[in-house]
Amino acid sequence: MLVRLLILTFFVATLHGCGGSSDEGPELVPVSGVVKFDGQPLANADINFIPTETTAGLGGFARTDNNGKFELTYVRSGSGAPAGQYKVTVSRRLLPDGNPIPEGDETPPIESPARETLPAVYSDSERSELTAVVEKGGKPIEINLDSKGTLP
Amino acid sequence: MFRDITDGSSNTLAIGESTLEVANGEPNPWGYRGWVQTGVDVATSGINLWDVVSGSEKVGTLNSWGQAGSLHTGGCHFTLADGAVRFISENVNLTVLTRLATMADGNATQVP
Repeated sequence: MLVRLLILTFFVATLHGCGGSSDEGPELVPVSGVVKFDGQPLANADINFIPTETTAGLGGFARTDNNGKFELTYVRSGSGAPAGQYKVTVSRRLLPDGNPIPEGDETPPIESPARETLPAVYSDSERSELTAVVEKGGKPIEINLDSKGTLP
Repeated sequence: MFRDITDGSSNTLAIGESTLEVANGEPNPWGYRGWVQTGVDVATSGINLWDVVSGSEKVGTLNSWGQAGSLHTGGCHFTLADGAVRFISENVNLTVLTRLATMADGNATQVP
């Protein structure tokens, strides 16, 4: 009887350990927008949306095209991001020859010759004070930056 | 020191699960006995953030070293500072995970 009880206990403990979760991921809504710097469209800027408050998910990223436009990709794959509030960073790192770092380059910044060209209040994830709200059916997000580091 | 865990030892993560396979390097070795070890960062990358290969997730291969993840579906295990082991869902929001990952930020957040 004792042996049987022990076996049962073992099974219950094992089941608990591998219980897992059947939660579905958060719903993604499309997020597009434009980045301007001193009034001009900013190309090759890397954008990160970092969830704050009770916003679900792990955020999204994008790179602006030649017209400064972007469409967010969810970090777990898929386009868009969950609705909610975000801290935003906009970074534009250039190589010594003036070219932007290749999209998706994973060289750690400390090992890369590329240098940040935007003020830290836009580009640094610890210091950025840019924010955005993602809403279902929301308008394109306009991010206006300038060389003085003014916040919108 | 345990007295520094002012958010409460049952509200603070101490040890987190990670996977052997990572996309961009090596996982933390057993016992964290390397020269420089990073621990597990759950506050910026969440749980089970898999490598994304051409649009789809490569489940089981973490996006980067030093991240939390497991081969269990939907989350991973953590040991709290009081010794309890909890399974935490990968869908818990980053604000809650950040509060659990910090021991003295003033937010005594319970494990969901």
